Amino acid sequence: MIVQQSLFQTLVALVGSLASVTCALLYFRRVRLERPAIGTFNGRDIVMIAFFIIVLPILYLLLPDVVLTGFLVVTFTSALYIALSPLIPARVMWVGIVALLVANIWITETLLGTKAGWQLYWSLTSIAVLIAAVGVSNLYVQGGMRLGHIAWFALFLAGYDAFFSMVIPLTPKLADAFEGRPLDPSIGFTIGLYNANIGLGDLLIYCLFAVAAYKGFGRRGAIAAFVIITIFGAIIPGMVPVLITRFVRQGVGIVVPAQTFFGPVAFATYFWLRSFAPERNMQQWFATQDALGSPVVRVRRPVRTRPALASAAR
Amino acid sequence: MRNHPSLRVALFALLLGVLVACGAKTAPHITGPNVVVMTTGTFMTDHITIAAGDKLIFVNDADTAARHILAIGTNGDLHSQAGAPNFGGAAGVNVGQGAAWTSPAWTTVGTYHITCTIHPMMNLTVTVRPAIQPTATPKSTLLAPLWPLAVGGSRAGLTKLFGGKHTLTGVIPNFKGDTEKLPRHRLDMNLA
Repeated sequence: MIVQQSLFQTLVALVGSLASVTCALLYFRRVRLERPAIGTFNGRDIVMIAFFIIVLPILYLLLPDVVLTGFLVVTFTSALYIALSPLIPARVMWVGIVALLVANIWITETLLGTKAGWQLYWSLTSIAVLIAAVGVSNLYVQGGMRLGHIAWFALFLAGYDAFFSMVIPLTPKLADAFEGRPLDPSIGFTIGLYNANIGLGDLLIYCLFAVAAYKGFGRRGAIAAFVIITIFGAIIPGMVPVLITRFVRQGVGIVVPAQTFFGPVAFATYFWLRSFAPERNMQQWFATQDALGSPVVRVRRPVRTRPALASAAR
Repeated sequence: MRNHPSLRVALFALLLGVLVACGAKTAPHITGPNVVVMTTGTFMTDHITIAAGDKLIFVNDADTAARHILAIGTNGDLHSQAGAPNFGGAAGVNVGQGAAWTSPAWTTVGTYHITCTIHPMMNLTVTVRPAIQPTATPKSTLLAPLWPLAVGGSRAGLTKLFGGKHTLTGVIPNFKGDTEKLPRHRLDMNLA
């Protein structure tokens, strides 16, 4: 039974992570996001993100259901807006976002007593999470986050994930708490007795690493990212319960601290890539793309004209 | 306007306190023969027998963060069964952390299966047996403490309790309402 569950977990993690990373890379090649007016990412920003990563799960566990759902709706709305606004006209985008989130909540309340309902729920949730991971990772990398930042961050998460899974079981509790609630921040699926998912946090790190590696080191960076995400981000965390029964919780499924396996390898890969060439920054990337004449999509902002000026112009 | 860092810290602490207070969950202390306790991914028993007309109380352990969505069926999937009580249909019954839910009465004799759609390996079998009402009851509750003695003792004792000839053919609960404490087969006797 553990072998089958592990195989299913590996399959879901592979499909989820590789689909997210591929979409994030394609998005990065084609879409220019508007940089937020907060300057360039630096080490202090990474420390702030780490602080929130520690505090937010505790808050999630304490928040009442309604407040948590409201919080998730706001978070997903922002992430979907960031990702979709350059691609879709505003009116269509807002209708789509509202429909996706409302459908998710409605299905959670009305159909989760059936397997088909769960499959529909996971399909909609996975779409929302994939778009969110693509948009937010691009916002960070296009905002100036470098592979060096992400490598250190992944190393921090390796320790964090191990500690909060095996010493203080916060991560398994959080995974339990999200199940059966609207907008579980995971890509997942269920078939028969098996139920597997991979969290938005893991997907974000994979997308960040792949996009930053591609930006910083070109094709070599992207290939290296794909290889380590496949092996250390999906296959090993998915299959490790076969060897380490500690991660198997009877009747509940498996919660594996994936970053514990991915983080150190990501850190080493960064230094390996840096041994070939210095990391490109965003300006250098833009210059390369302009030289190649690559087409890009930019955020569309409606141009507003004052009525008086408009009539004077006629 | 001047900055008041201490005021901001206090407001943040207040907000945090309110959130924590809102989120505090307490464990229901429910015990009894028809109570099914659920932990993170298991029913604490995989089989329970109840009498027709009884209700089941499902209690979700407050020490876990998991919720359960209960449905009539097996292996995490809904399979309707004729005679089973309403478990919320396609929505199932959502039992949150530390919460309890009392099922409608199980009125039809038979064997039923309950599962959790979040944790497909959670399966519970419910056997509903006929409810047999006693055809006689003690005259006075003052004699209640003597009842087990009478049953285990002489016919004369029982005759005295009931004030005449009676036929006992069914299950009689003891006076605490706990049928488990008195073996039922001992009561299945004809006193006539």
